[in-house]
Amino acid sequence: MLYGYGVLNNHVPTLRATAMGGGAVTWDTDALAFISAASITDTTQKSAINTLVTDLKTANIWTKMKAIYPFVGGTATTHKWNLKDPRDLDAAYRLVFSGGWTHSSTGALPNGTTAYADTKLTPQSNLTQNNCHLSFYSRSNTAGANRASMGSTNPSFTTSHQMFLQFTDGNYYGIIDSNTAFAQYSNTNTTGYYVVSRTSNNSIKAYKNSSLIATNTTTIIAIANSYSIFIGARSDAFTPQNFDDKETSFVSIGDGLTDAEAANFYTAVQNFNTTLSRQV
Amino acid sequence: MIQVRQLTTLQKDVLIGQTYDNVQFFNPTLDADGEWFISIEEYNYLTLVRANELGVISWWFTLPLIPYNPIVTEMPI
Repeated sequence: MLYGYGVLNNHVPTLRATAMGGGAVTWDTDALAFISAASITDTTQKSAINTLVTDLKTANIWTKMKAIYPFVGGTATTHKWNLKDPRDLDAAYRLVFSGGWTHSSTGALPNGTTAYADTKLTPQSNLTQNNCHLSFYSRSNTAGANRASMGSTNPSFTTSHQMFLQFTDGNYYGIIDSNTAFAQYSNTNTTGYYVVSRTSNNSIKAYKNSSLIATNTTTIIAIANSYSIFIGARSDAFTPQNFDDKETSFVSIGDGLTDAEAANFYTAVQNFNTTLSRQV
Repeated sequence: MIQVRQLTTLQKDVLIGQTYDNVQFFNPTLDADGEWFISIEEYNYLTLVRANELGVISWWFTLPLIPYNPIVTEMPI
């Protein structure tokens, strides 16, 4: 039986379901909208989504998100949805997959040769300068290479939003707004949850799991590029390049995060992936 | 060694803008030898129904398997 709360006055976005013989579960309406759009029927997956949304709201992170891709359901049809706005529209940043992907219950794996997913989210139009984050949950440990896990750049490579988990020199690179100052870290294993966050014109930080791994306080002049962010490759003025070969089970794009928010974000995402038995 | 399926220019033009499973799009790509190709995944995941819709059955099973030879550009970060 479902009991609606706040439907008429439209301010309490929860529903309570009571199963026969079971305890009450409070369902978040944003979680339900995603579950419905993606046609998720598995009870563990539904519960994991619901808990993720409520955890992000409790931590005051939810409103900072523009796009959240939880990669639940095991197919391209279920993986394309944006948890924050689960409409089948470019304007909702629903993913458009191209090239060779392998989708499974553990996430989405690009083949490293032709695969990418277009978020349709462009920094210039959809993000705030000096206030942005990217996050990527990598389940793969692959050798250092010129492979971008996500991002976009302008043709002259002066401004970009991107992450290389391990470049050819062995370093992680996270960049937001300007290529003159990036977060850099010597990375020996590409598995883990990576967040790069810029919160001002002189603060960009990178996190791996629960740890702050890099900080750059160089002052930049932020210029947001006008090319949509790709996952599994980098959009070089809309052309996919730097194809990646890392399986991901969570990606997000949104406002900049503080240290505390990044830590809470990791906890929520790690709990989510642990519930789905695909944590690293 | 990674292998891919080689396409002619005409075949590439047929696949551009089309999905191989009604959700995911082909991404024909140029290699270092100037040859067009698609990945093994794109080739294998094309359904028979979709192949008929695209009208590619006559040549689909004749696509040569070639080594993956990407264009290497040392693009800056």
